[in-house]
Amino acid sequence: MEDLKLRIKQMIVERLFLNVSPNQIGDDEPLMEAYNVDSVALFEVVIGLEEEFGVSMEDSDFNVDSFRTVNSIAGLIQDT
Amino acid sequence: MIEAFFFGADLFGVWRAVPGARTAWVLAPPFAEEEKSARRALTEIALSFQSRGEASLLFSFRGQGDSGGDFSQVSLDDWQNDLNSAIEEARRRAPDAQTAVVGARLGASLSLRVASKRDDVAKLVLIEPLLSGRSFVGQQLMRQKIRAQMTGEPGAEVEMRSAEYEDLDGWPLGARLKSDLQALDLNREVFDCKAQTRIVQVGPKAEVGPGLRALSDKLNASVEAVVMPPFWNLLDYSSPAPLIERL
Repeated sequence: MEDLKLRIKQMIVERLFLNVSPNQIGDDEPLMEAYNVDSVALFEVVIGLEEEFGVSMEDSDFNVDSFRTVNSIAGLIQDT
Repeated sequence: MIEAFFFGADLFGVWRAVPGARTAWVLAPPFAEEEKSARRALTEIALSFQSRGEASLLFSFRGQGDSGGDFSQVSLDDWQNDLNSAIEEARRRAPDAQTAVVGARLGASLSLRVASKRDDVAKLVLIEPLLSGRSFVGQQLMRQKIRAQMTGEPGAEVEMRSAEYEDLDGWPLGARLKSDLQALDLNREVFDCKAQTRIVQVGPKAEVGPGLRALSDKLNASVEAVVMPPFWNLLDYSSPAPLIERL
């Protein structure tokens, strides 16, 4: 689980070109508020999930709440 | 010298003339919302060509930008015809120059199709071409869903549909264009491209992904990755300098 979370953080840092280390992102830190994740940035994260974790979300499956923290994203990946 | 004008099927273009230019570029923009975000970067690319003594024509496909036409009625064949018109226009304006085409995203995919059917395109640069139109349409619908949930736009979560088109993030996607996009699959299509071809991946990864690698192998093209934000997806300005340095 810790490996998965670190990969998620690395993906977020990489995709959003953040100037932070992946380890600086807290597991329960609210991503949207802490890193100014707007709809454009979240779209990049969704694409990252598809490309790097093989998580393909149909339009009807998408729920923004699944992307609020690293822990919730990890849960999403484990549930698919 | 810069000239803004209309040509072909009421297409809007911006021609940057350079006396004695040895190369005349045609810049093929991305699709719909991506074109709007990419416009400034494409203009900067055109300016960089001009600064090194190369002419360029930056245009908009019909139904997009300042070009005429009804977006809901267009097809990819229409846009390929538009690109052919743009190439002819560039050749007419710079008859002694070699013709080169640089396309971004869907513009890159269509550039490859068009250049493969011509023998007068000397150079072809494909910036992050769309490999799968089906995947692209799905992603655009997802983007619409994301924005609706994040902003709580009233009614935006409900996809507006009519008999003639469906709403694709504010753009009326006609049945013909949707069908054409869903059929677009560059790694399954057959190309006979005589132009010297370069593929440029733009994004967070320093390694070229397998899809573009496969396309480059098929085309016998060079391929490289430029690490920078995907300028066609951004609302804010992001300098295309890392890309321009490689063109």
